[in-house]
Amino acid sequence: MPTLLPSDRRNSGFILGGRKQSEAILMALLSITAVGCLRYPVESRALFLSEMISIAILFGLEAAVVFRRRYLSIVLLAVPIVTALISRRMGTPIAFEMTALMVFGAASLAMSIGCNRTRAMSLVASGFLTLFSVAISDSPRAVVMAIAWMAVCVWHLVANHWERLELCAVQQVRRGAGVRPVSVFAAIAVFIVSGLAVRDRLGESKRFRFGFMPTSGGSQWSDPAARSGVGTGDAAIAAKDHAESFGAVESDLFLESTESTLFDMFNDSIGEPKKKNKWERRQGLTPEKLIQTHEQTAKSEKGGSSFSTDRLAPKKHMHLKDSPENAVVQWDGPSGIRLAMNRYDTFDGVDWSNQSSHRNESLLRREINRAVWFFDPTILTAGKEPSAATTTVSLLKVLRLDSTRIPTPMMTSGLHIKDVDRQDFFGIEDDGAYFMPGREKVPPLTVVNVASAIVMEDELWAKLDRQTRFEPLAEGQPKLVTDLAAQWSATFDHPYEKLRAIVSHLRSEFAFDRTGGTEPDDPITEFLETRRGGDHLFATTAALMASEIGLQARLVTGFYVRPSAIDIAAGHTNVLPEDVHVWAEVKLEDGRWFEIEPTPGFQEPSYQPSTWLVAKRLAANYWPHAVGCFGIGMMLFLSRLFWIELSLSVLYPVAAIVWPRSRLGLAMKVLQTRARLAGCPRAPGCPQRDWLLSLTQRNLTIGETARRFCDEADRMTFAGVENTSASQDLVKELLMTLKIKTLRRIKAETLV
Amino acid sequence: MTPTENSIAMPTVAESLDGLRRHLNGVLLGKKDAIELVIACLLSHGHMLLDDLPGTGKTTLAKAIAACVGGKLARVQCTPDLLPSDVTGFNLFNQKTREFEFHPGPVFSDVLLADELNRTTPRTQSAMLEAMAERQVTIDAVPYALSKTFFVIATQNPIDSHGAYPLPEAQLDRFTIKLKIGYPDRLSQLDILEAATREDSQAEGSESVLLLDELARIQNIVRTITVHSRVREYLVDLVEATRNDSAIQLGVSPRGMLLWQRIAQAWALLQGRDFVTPSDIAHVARPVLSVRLLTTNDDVDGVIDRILDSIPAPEYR
Repeated sequence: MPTLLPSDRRNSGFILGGRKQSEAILMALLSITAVGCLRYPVESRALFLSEMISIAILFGLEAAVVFRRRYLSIVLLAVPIVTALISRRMGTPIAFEMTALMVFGAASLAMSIGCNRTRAMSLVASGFLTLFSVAISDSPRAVVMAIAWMAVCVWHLVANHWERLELCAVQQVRRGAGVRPVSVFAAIAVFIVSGLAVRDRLGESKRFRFGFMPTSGGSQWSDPAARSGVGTGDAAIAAKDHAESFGAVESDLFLESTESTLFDMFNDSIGEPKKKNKWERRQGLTPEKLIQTHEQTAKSEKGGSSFSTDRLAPKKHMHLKDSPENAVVQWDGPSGIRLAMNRYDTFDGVDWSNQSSHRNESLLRREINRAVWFFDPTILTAGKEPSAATTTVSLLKVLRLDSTRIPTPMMTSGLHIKDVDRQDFFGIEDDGAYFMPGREKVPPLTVVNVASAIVMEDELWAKLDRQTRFEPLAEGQPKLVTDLAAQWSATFDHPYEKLRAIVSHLRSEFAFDRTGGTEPDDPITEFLETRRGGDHLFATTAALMASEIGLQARLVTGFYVRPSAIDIAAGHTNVLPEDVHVWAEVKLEDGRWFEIEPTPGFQEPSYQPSTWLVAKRLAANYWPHAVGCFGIGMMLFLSRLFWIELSLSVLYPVAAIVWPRSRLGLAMKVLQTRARLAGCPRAPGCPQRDWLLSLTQRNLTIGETARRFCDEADRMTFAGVENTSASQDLVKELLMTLKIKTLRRIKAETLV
Repeated sequence: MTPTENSIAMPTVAESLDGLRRHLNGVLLGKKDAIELVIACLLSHGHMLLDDLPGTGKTTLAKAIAACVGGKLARVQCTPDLLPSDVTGFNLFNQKTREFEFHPGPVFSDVLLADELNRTTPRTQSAMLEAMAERQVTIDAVPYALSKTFFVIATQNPIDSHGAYPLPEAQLDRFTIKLKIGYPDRLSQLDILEAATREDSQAEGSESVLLLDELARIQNIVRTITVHSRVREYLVDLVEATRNDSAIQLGVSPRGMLLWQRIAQAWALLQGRDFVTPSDIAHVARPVLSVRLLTTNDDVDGVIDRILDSIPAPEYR
């Protein structure tokens, strides 16, 4: 009979049911979500949301109303196209390929309700869409979308085709309930394992680089919706938005600067730029673009050989704050950190100076991914090749730094400047700071890649030596320092704990006030008494106290990367001259130095504890709770039958009062739940009567009760007569007799 | 017939059926389940195919049924040279009266036993089609009505298939059920031996417990047994499952579905109920399906099991 297909029956009326169908819809929604993740951050929110809402409404209509389904599907497909046209008209264009992908998604959604064949098409479309979106996404987390889609897909396929697989098998196996979850987990495991196996082994394809899609900033034509290009796109030529952009053409900085860039200096084939006089320089600028303050370069800190804690209040100046034009450097990396310029390890009571000699002008050259890096040999010879897991790479663009030193975060292991393979360009100063030897200053617009080690809290605990005691920094230091250090750290044992106590006391009990320019004889004592002072006093005090508890400490000056100064659009932070900051560093056993931030108002360096350390701490703090929970859990598990019986016994009467007519059905459900727990569940295809009778056939009395129960239930359910009422006693007797334990015994007997 | 009338009729019906049941069980020992199905088939106004070895009591059963209902038994031994007219009857020219006289064939009986149906030619087999489905035969363009309670018990021999003509699908679909009686168990066999030595061992079929009119009345009652809409949906689900299963070439036809519902009604009546439950449907599913499912592999029982397992039965409310 060709007419009565099951799908016809199911599709009629307001039905969004059917397991297969809802899974197909879920997959289509996942794929649309994947595209949405790509689109949402870059497009007009209002338009995007209205597009999604109209798709949702149309789909809802399509699911609900049957007779116009075909037209609704076509309208559904048209929604992304119409939105694209509207958005272009409104001046916020949507990229062509995104519209194309969205049409795919809408088609997949429209096809997910329909017959088997269109559902299969929907599956293919949503699969393509998800995988494609994940593939072109930059975020490594996007793979979660792919895994989610695949899990649903495997779930769907196993449910639909397992029986056929089963028929192919030599021995027919009864389908167990666990097949689907197991298959899904196996598929995800295979996916992840194979992904890890091929990870980093496939080279980057160059095939898509030019002209494949307008998004890539292709060389032929440009779509207004194209994102920030990588090749010859407009944004790349402009080259002023991002710290990494190199070729400055229209940049205000470059137009006004007569300095040759680093690129000009080491590339001999291009001569130095011709020096222009002031009037010539101004020709490129319209009067409104000219900024008077740019005529003079901002003064930044010069690297000095000493640093005095006895200082005057800073000069007031009239520059606009926070403007990128004032920036000394631009920092594309984590914010709230410190970039060190100078370090001082000796203190004479008033002045800090540097006595150590780390000077090294032959850094180790390493080539990583065809980029040439120069590393600090003291770090590499410690047996630690730089690895991606323990290192972060950040970008630093030097703008107007009047120093050969390169501001770097703590534990910087190496530097890399694009296309620069010259060992003589890099060196390490006596105090451990990186610098560029043989020139007056770091050339403006130089972009430096800085690799710095990530320090885990575990290392600080392990590598702070509690045996070796270093000499205190200054001989005749104020007694107050010694006293307070001893007082604050008295209750702690480990040097790291002591250090933390000192820092937290300084941060919580002292006030940061740079303006108070006084000229006392002993600034440290003054500071400790007034509990108010500049960051140099905080840093000095912290360093002195650290050396009091036996640690080797030094003072560091440099810049603080203010989190409030992030230029979100450009993705970097402008470090201004007023971000100059002073802090302290403490030495680890392996010769590296980690920083401490004693000044309130500046973010403390974050030393993440490893999972193991966290687990150990939790275990130490909460083990009685854990033992208690485990014990209670075990007791609950062992007595679970009792609890289940109890809850069933409580739930059944309540439900029987609420739905008196379906008392027998509820009793049957209780019995089935018990049987499932006892390991003899009812197969859904087996009528309840047959199941219950076969279960109780061995026991005559129970069997008789069960038969009468079933007779009554059958009559109530299937006879189509309204007047019957269930007898309470029968149900009660059956429920009292057929407990889980009884059912278990019955099962055991049947097996024997 | 309203439910009230049904319930008044029920006790008498139950009595008659009990007599029939007792009598048949007395004839064919140790085969209670098979006999229940046979009775259900009889009550559902259907026909039955016995797929069995020789000497398992097929003829005995047929004779006993015929005797019980007090009807006429006819038996056709199907051989390759059996002609359609041998089954339906024929017109013979009477020289004396100078007229054609109709000589009715064995189909003009109440119970027809067609032995080894698969041994005769398709031509003769198809002659029985009209008889089974329409309960009438047409000879020389004259239709002749058959007995109201016409009941065909056909047998086929599963072994020794050499020279056999497999029954066409159309014919198979006219049978309500296919049964395997099989050998009796040990105790029953002892009983059989013991019963054979009794004096009144030939008494079978001597008394009729259910008159033909009574049978026809019960067959009408069966028609009116309630089938709840949820049970109907369950039945349709099962039928559709047979059509969509990849292991089945030919699923259940709408006629097969009707026969299924009818025999389930008869089964419910046999259980003393005036409504059909899902377990009635499931209980008769195997004999009903095994006659009409054409599977791609030989494991018909396995396929039926799987279909029954896959369709959830309606639950109590």
